[in-house]
Amino acid sequence: MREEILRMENVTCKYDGITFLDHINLNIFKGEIMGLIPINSQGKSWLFNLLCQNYPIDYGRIYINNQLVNYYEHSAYNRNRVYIIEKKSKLIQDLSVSDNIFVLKRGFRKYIINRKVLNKQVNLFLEEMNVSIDPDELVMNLNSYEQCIVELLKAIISGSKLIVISDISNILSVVDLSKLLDLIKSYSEKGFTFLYVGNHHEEVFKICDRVALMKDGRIIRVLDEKELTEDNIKAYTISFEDAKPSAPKYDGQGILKFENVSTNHLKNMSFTIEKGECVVFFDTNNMIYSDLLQIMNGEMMPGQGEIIWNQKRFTSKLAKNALENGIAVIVENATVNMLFQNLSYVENLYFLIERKLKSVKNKSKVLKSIITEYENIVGQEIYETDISKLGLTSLYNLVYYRIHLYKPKVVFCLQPFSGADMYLRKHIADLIRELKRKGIAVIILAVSISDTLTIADRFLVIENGSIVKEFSKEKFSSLRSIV
Amino acid sequence: MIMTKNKGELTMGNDKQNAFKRIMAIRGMGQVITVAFGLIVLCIVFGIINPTFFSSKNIGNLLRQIAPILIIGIGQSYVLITGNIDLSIGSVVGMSCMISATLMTKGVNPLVAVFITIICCLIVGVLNGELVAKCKLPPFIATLGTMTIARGIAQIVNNNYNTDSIGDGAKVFRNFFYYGKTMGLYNTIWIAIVLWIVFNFILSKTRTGRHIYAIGSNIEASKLSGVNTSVTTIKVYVVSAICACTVGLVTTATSGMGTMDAGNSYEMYAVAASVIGGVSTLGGQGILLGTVIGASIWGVLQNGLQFAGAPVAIRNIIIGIIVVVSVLLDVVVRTGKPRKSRVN
Repeated sequence: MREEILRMENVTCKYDGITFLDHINLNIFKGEIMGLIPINSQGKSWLFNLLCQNYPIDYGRIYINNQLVNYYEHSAYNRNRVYIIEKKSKLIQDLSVSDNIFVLKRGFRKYIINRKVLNKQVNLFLEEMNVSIDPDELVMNLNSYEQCIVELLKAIISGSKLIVISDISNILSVVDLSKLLDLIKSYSEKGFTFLYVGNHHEEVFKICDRVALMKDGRIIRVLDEKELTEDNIKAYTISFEDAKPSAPKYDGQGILKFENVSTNHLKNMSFTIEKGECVVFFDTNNMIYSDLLQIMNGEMMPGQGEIIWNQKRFTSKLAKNALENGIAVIVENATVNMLFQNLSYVENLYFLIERKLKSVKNKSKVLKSIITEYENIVGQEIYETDISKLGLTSLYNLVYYRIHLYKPKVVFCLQPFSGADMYLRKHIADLIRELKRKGIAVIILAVSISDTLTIADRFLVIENGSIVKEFSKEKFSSLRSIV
Repeated sequence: MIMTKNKGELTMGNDKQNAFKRIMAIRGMGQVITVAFGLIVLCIVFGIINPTFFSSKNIGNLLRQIAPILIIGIGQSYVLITGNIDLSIGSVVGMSCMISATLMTKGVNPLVAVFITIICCLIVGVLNGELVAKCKLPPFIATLGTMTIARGIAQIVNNNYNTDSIGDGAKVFRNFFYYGKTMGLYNTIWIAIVLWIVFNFILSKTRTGRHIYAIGSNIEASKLSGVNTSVTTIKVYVVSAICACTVGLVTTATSGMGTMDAGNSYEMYAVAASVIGGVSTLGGQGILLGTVIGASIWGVLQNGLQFAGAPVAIRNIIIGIIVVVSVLLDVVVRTGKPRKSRVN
């Protein structure tokens, strides 16, 4: 009989009248890679919190390693041996790799630190993983993949019963992700247990033994190895097709042109972006984005090559006023990083357009017309004074309609679907289509294909800083197998 | 034979390279080397302006001037590395000076007086730590409060008067903390050296030291890694109080009496010594070797500018500019350094 590492029986959690976890039944066996696909995000963070620490639950029981650790009548608040590797690193950036792995481990007893001994031990594990990382290196100097490896090692060395890996494809390039998945597989064969959480079934199916589907805080189905097929998941997915008429085409109206541009990470990059088109930059090595964004906002100028913006040479002076010149950026986690919590919905919406309205005399009339126009689109939420009360969908509306209202010529979207559940991803895709309809060119910078194909007109594959392949919309069907 | 030799040379070369790499990998070492270079330049410039700058008498005095700044700098560095600040250092110096002097003038045995003084200062340290770590008060506000309280205690302890001379009975005390010499060096310098060795060892070689860096770097991640952030924060404020207390005792020994305004503005000198030496005000970075260099720069500037005939106002302006530039350098390096870490 297989040893059970986690068993959740009818676990229910309610807060403020909302049921976040609804009779969750889930079991994971030793050495298994269990998959979890949250169809919507409800309950995901509650589940993670409960796995890590025994907070009170309203109903049910939780067993870890066959021991009852939490049940509805008594929750001890103690921590379980569960480690979560996710987008936000839990490593101390200012400490070395060996310090992070050993010294900051619960139960590390030695008071005086012998660096040589620790390094030797770290090296043994790293050799076993076939990874070369200097144990003395500060974590801040490691790349995303190396940091994931250090976290994985930390989880293994600290004797975690269950290692949760969540939405890791948002931070790793396909090359690094594939290496990490190989490591996970090899450790599962050695008896370590994983819960692999991802929003895309293609990614989760590839590595997991079984997959649980979670919706509205419930496990709605558990698929066994034989059931991990497209047909079985189809019933739980929604179509990303555009319900509205497609955006007009503006062929031949190139607004951004790179000619043999080179920087530290860009190598002879050449491309043209047309008005109103959506182009995906898929970087298999996760290297070029910071250079690309730094060039566009004037923090860096290319060492070689030329950039043409709106028929003019792109200079550092032009880049310093990028927004005024029609270049906007939507960063990752835009609802957190781009909105002002102390401003109302309308104030947030106006934030960019206010620059353009400076010279307008009858400003209030213009503002009124803007409210009327966008009320038709977003509804009553436009009158919300406290945006913290709004849901994620409304906040994404605000982020994208602010750009829509400002109407730049091009907008760079960094990982727009990162961390979003299926319904939210569909909504974001619709918002990007709205930008396209307004004639705004959208450049998506992504490390995973995610749902970019549903909105893209072109797809550029970038390897080691150079464009190696270009796919037009008609050839997208052949893309997945190649990438 | 030749091959073995060559191989040996190669290994030695690699070892040297590795050792150099390891030294340079120590957090904050780059800035320490830069600042040390600046210190050497300063010494040469002042030596050229006035050759008596390098006289053995002046060097002895200079080191004695640097010692108290180094001691409080050590305390402030500990606190800054956790991402906090201690504004009460100067007042604790004053409190320590007044309590010890008052007790000694009242005929209390100097050893007992020192013991009572240390206990009082430790209470302030623990209070600071509790307010910041447990009550979650902003460190600036919490230590601003205790700064006023400690200064008030310094004033009240002898009914708002400076004390009389601590007298001949405290001769041993005065020799131990200031006038005496051991192996040709003033005892004040030895006290600073011993404290530096102890606290540097704790910071660089022990689990507590790593926890101090961890808290300053990322307090949430530290908690998740099982670091008791409250206890560690209290510990650093206690270290700061011990250092301030020691400087207070040195001050009493120096003047032979208790003065209510002893230690005025010392918290700023401590911040200056730490920051010039590369301790980050944002937390998580810095080494005590840098504090030695920072305190030395402060001392050399004070001493050298005095030798060069610069008025006090000019000295203060120059030191102020150096502090601002040091912090600016830290912020620029921290925010401008390209990180390879996770997207966004």
